[in-house]
Amino acid sequence: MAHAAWRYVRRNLSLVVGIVLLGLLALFVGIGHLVVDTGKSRPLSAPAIRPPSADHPFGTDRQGRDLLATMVAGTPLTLRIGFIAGFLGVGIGSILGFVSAYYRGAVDSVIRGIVDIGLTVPGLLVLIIIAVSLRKGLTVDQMALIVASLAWLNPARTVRAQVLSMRERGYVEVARLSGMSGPEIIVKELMPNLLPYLAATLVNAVSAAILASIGLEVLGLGPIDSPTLGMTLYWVNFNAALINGWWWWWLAPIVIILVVFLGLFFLTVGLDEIANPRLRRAI
Amino acid sequence: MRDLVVHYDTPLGAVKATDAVSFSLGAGERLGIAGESGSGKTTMALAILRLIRPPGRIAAGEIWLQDVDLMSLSPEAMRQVRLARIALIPQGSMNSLNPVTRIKEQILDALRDHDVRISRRQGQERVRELLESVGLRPEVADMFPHELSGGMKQRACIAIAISLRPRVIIADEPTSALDVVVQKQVMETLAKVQQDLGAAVILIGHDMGLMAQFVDRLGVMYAGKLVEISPVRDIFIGPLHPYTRMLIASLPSFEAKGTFHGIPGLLPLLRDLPPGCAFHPRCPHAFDRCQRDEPRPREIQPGSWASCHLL
Amino acid sequence: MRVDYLARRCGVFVLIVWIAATLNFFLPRLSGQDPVRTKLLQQAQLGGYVHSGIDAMVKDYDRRFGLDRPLWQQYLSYLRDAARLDFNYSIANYPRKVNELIAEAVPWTIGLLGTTTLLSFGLGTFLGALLAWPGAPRWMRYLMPPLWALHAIPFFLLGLVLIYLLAFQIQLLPMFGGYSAGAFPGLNVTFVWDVIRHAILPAMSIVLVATGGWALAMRGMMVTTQGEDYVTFAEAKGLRSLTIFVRYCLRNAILPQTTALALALGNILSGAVLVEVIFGYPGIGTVLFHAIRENDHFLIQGIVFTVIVALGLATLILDAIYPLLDPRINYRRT
Repeated sequence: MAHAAWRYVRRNLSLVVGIVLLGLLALFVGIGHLVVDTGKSRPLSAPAIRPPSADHPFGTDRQGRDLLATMVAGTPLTLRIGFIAGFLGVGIGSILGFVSAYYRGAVDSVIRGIVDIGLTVPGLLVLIIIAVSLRKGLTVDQMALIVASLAWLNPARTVRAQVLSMRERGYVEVARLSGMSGPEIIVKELMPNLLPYLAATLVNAVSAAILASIGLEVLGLGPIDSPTLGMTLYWVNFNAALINGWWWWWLAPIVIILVVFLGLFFLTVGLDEIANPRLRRAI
Repeated sequence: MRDLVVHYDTPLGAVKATDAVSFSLGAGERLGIAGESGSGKTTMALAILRLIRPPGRIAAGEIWLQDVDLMSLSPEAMRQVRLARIALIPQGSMNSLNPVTRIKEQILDALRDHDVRISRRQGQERVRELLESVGLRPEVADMFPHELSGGMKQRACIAIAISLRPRVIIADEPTSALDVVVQKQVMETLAKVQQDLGAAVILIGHDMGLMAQFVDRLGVMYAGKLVEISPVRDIFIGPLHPYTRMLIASLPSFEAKGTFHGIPGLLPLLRDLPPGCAFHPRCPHAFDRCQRDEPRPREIQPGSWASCHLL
Repeated sequence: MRVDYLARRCGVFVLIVWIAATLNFFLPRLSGQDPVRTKLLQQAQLGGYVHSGIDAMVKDYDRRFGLDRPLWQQYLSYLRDAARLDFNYSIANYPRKVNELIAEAVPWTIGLLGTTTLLSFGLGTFLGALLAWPGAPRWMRYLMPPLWALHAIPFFLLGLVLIYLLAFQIQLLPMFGGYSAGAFPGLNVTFVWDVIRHAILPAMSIVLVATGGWALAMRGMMVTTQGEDYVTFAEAKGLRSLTIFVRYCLRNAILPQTTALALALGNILSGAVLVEVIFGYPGIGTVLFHAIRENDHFLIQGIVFTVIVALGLATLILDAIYPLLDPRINYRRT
């Protein structure tokens, strides 16, 4: 049993690395919430601009936030935006992609047109326009919705391509000929084969959503009072922390963002391997 | 070919794609190799050209071309042998031609890489000749593969295969994806070029009817082993091995009417071969020795070899 | 046939431009009020510090987009302006017009983006192809993991790290800006060298990250191509391995790679915008950043529109080049 597990680790190292990284992050947040007072992530909770010390293991920023508390409080917020937008995006996108590929015809042309054009336009800019227009104090959830409004495009395209190729492989025809009803085909034949792709697409979408939200926040369009990772970077930029040499301020968010993206990336690669057996390397 | 063994390495162990296959080919002779999909025919063809790629490997055996063992050649020497002395006409010419290059380029690059020094004009002339000899119009030279029909693509592959006047031509299921009328055209082309060149042909396929019309000798493969090899008339008149017999019996013909029988059962998984004779689970005449000992090829009649305990 | 394809692509381009303009027009009005007008009025009310031109702007704005005019007229008016690339004056930088500000910033962005994209695509594709060649030297395999890991992070993150390491700690390169303060722009060596020095870090942030992605993608395409039937036949023809590698594998793998480039342009641009913000590089990104800070709606709209149109154009060009690479395109009707 253990031997088989070890063999799998060697074959799909990426998946394991991804899970480990994200697991560490979850631990950090989880233990952090128990140990650290997240109230200290509000401004004026601590003396400003202190390098890391026993009192403040991650130091403090210009507005008197304890940075450890900020990271502990802010990481789940950033992840939340990513998850909400990612799930929403994949949910809507899958349905649309599926409908498009299954029913074809005019519906397919319309959806495909929208997706193709939508993907050519740089998403960040559209998000900027939306965010700027809705300036009245964005909350974390509102940001998630804004990001979700574009997040469905890629999943729609991926799912559509998958369903199309599955259709061509004929087992839809066979299933229908053997008397299965529409919904039955969907659930018994198509779904099991779609799941690995959906999983990979989901992780991708979450990653992209987090990137988009951080991008908006760094530009100053995020929820101003939230200690999210992107907002922290915004303040870093605003206060020229780099030039002033307050390295602890930007090191923590960067490391955490790195772990998030690397973790999600390795997870994607690992899931891809499961989804596409042809990529498997022989051991 | 002598005792060729090709292995495929899988996570579950090595699988014998061909096991101790041996035969000899005379100059100008037409040999057919028939068998179901998965019987090892294509593997054998690729092995002759040493084109087996990982996870497959040639585990044992010798392949002699006149007086040279191909297995002993360096990779560069082997490269020179390909096309110049042994040519392949590939299976599924649907995708055997480079989609982004013109036909004439695909003929010429082979010439070039075999150090044939000719001028531009001579090259064009050569291309035209080759295309003509397979019945293709000269305009085809400037076309891309997707502009050609299936039969035309197959004939273009034949043209490439004969461009260096090889001694042996291996045709791997050249007509599988084509309809009957085109099949005839292609086979006629193949027969014609073979006669012009005086080359030997190994025709690989699963269409027994096609074999009957074309080859001089026929070999039958099953589960990676060559179970029978005889002159083609002898095989059809009096097949020796039970598998061959059932294969021929399953062929439809104009005279015999009535129900036709397939061969019951399925091909065994190559990694899970039954002990003794690989065919015994499906053989109607199997007896206890068939489950224990693997039959070795023996010359039953002059020129006819088969591996069966019944004989 | 060929004309068919081109005509369709041009049509898509025009569609994109129209959608960009429409988005620009309708999105700000989503929330019910007109934020542009609100902003203008705010500025007007501030009096004092604000320039006198504001009143004139408000009047002009009302004339064209006023509430007494039906929406469709406002829309047409807007489209007409957009077609002439007239985005009005910049609210924050009056009396400078939006076009001017954009025109100043565009060369910097094109310079940075153009070179880095070409460099990373070229280098990455080349590396990726090499990695797929069986004859590649051993040590190249060790390049893969770092390239892999790098390409997963956003450009600007690497930018921050690079600034700290190379500009702050070691002080090797300047920290931000497009050129040193007080330098005289001109085509002399000193200035050009100054510009280059300032561009190195931003460029590095983009190239180091993007190259990995292209390399990985190309390697994947090459591996797929190497498994194709025509490569087997090419080997059976006794072609030299170099010939097979270049004319059969590379030549075919480059096709999906180019498609990927066209699709990735939007993402590359988004990433580059953030890089410019971090480095204070005087391109579109920084201008956009300041515009957001100052709520300069005309400028924001102008930038977004310009960028979308530029990207549409770039995609159109790439699409036009594609049939030159892939002869099958002429005949396929999608």
